[in-house]
Amino acid sequence: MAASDAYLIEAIGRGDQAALGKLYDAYGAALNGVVLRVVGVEEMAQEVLQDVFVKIWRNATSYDPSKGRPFTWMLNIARNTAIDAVRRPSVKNASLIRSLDSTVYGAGHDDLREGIDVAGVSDIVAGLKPEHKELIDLAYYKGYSQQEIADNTGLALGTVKSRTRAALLELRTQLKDYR
Amino acid sequence: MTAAELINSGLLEAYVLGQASPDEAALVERMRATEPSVGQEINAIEAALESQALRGAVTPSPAVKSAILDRIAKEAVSDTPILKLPQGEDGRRSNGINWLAAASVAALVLSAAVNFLQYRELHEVRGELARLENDRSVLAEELKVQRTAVERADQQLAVVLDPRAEVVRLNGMGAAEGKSARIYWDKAELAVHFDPQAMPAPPEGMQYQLWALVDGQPVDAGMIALETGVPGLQRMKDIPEAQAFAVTVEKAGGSPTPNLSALVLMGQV
Repeated sequence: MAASDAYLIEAIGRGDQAALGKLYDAYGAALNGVVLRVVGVEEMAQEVLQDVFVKIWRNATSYDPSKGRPFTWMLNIARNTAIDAVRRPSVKNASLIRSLDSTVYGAGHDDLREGIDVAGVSDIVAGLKPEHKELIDLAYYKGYSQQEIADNTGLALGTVKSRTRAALLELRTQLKDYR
Repeated sequence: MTAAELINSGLLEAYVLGQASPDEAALVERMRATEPSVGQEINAIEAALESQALRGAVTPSPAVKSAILDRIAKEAVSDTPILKLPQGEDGRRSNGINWLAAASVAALVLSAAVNFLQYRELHEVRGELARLENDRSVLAEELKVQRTAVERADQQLAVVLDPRAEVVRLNGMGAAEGKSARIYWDKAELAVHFDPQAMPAPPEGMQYQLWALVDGQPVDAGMIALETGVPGLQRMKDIPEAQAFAVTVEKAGGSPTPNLSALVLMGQV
């Protein structure tokens, strides 16, 4: 799968519009899920998703296969674009920023779950230990750096790193079971 | 740092999430190049995140795809292919978009050339226009001069052709023997016009003066202006009645009585 994805991205880099269409068919829904989980509002997510694919189109030649899988590259574009959209200061997004901040300060409590439920995303991290779920959400879906998470939760940076690690290990175990 | 320490540090997760600092990322990439276990671990983290994302997929509205394709189609025409044009090192790249790009560049170059030619032409036309404008004003000035000359000639002709005008011929006397002048005298209008014809210029500080002889008495009829190069009739003082006209040389500005020893022209009415 990764090899054909890399081929698609190379084709996109040459200006092949049909290749971008194929990439969208394969991953549009997955990336939409990621974006929706970050921004929480379906209409906004679809706007952001357009920007994501335009960025993929523009930057396809900068994808470096030696640094990681094509999907990881796209995923990080999607996350960063979504996080930027949420953090952009505008009236439209003000409420999202507020909920984002309260998520960090009161991390792991109801408002985090609420955001996910509003998004309508199936909560695949629900089975994780609460502290692991919290870390994955903050780091992965809310775009906070490990340092920011440490600053805002009062945890030591080393603890944040080791818990992120443990959280992903737990996730991997679950995914293995799921398969 | 050993591979195991790196794997357990949590840094690889941060690296995959794009959250490692440049120094950290450089460390990960260095270790990955030499330690297969690091690469395997990164791959496993990536696979886990990918699976998670695929499981959390939410199908967007079909309008999103067409909106994206519209946007990139616009970009493909405007900038992307032009930027890529110099990269065409392999033959496969001569697709429709690059043809379009080449055509766009050609059109741009052609348009620039046409603009340049038009600009130069405009410049020339402006220069030509300025020259024509200059010529026109010179001609207009000339026309004004000619028109004045014609009006003057018309006036003189009117005097000469006036059926009521009496012509008095004045003949040279003494030193002016052989010279002559003429007077056109309209008695109804009392107008006297003097035609100096070929009279020589008077001596320095002197001027010709016209006299009308009325019942044997000389009456001043005005000074004669002999402006060199300006031939033509000169309107003199009005004279209602005279038996003869005479011209004497007087000091400039004229005399109340004629110096008869300086009589140069004389004519009977």
